Amino acid sequence: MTAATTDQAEHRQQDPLRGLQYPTPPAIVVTKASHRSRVARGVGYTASPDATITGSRSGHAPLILWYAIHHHGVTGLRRRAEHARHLAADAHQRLRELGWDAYRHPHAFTVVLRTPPEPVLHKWVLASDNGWSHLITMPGITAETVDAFLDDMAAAIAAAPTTDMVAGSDR
Amino acid sequence: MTQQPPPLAAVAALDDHDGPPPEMLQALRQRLDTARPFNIGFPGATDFDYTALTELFAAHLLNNVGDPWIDGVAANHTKPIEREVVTFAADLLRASADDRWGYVTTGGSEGNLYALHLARDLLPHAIAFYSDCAHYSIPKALRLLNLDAVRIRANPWGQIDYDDLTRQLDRRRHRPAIVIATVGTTMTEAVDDVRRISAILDHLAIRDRFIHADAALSGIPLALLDAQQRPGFDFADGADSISISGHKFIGSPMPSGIVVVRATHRDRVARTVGYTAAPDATISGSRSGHAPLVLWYAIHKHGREGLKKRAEQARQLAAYTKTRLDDLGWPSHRYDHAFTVVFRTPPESVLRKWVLATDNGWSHLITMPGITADTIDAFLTDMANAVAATADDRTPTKPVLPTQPPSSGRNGLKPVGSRRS
Repeated sequence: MTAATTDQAEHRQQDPLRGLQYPTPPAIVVTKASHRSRVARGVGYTASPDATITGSRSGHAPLILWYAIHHHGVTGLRRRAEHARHLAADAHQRLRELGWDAYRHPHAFTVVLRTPPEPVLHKWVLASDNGWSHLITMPGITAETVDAFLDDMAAAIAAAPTTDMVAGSDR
Repeated sequence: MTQQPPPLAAVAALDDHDGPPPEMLQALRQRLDTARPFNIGFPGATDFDYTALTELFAAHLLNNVGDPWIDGVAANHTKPIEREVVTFAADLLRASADDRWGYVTTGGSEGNLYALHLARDLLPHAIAFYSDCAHYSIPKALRLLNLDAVRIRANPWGQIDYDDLTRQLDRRRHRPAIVIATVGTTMTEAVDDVRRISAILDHLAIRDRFIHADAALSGIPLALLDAQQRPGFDFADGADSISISGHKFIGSPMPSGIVVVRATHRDRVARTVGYTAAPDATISGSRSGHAPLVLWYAIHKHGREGLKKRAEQARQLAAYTKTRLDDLGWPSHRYDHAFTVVFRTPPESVLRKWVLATDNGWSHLITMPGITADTIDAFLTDMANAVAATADDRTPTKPVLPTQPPSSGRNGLKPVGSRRS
């Protein structure tokens, strides 16, 4: 094993649900090999040390991630990520043009917005918490989908121009 | 010693890639096809075909995040199906209809970790007691949970030593007790008696207690027996939680399992810990929606009667193996109801061909569904030839027979078997 070295974290967990396509939830954990060798326990009958949390582990999950990595290549994955960011930036920009409070971190696929009016919430599956919601432009979400969502937002705002509006946001 | 893989290094040249290299997939298929007929030592059923679910595997993300009984916002889950699977297991394991909860896990190990986590939350000052022949995931979970634990002796054929358990519990009667029963040990398929463990705790007046049954291997097949035949291991016998494996008897293409617990325990913890209405109820958070789908498909395909028949066939094949080994004069052991036959480690020529689990001079095979009578006959023919050759030989190369039965091995089983490559 090689080391993932950052100043902040010695364990870096990568969640491939959020970058690669995968039909069932996997993730990858990378750790310093020197740390690992202190905790791995030998289990004779499987001929492989008991180095993980779950013991028996899916052989299909690595196969699928390997397939996706090879299918896209690094260049393809980067292009996919850039496309997702482009869609997110576009959605953020257009929400602000509608006068709807929205926020996006640099490089993020996630656009956080004030929880939309009821008709929009009925139709679209958004994650909502404490007056805020978000959408995520994961690969597979198309420009047409984002357009349709923003059309519904525009219509809902026009129908109820004074409700749910937050004035004076500079975000 | 197994071949060491090369150290993890950057995968080169993925920038000018040509897609997934087909020769690697071809090599994988070939390795699987070659090894499959001779793998009789590890307990995964292979008599399944989930082709009907292919499209759901190929093109759908199914994420059963969190509690199976709370659907959540997103629709891409199989929670209604998961609830059916858990209910099927809870019924078989005789969980009270109004006191049950559970979920589909990544396998028996996660079920053990979840159950022991629950036990620790209920009884934070408890000491855990587990058998010398418990699965390796039990001491691992106890380490992760930082629980004090006592390893109890096992008898020569793998059952927990009730006298030692009584003595060790008696010394620590001032502390709550978590006792882990193994329902089907890895080497001999021994079953610890939950009724007896419960009676020991009664006798010692240890009221703050939690009994977890690690029934990964044998839970479902034993539960399919008629009530008067089955050993004591389930909720009606006193268990507070049970972990079972999905890829062993039921059969699934990826490791899977089911954990069932008494809901009142979980609710008590939920209040104490202050979980909210949207509880992060499981160990793993995002969970496969495909695993419940596969188990649900198998349960419906076989039905309870079909599963029962399947278990009976496996037992008959194991009993037949034992009889034939007896005829050969080769020392062996099989528990009633077991799919596992333990026998003195065969001569080298047999070990080279067949994948058996071996430890300290003893080996085993398991007649899981998918292992055919033809396969077993081929194995027994090889055994007969090897035994005859050894007898003719009269050279001192004959392996020294161990004096101890298999449970004496401290480090578990050593893999011996085909090393074709």
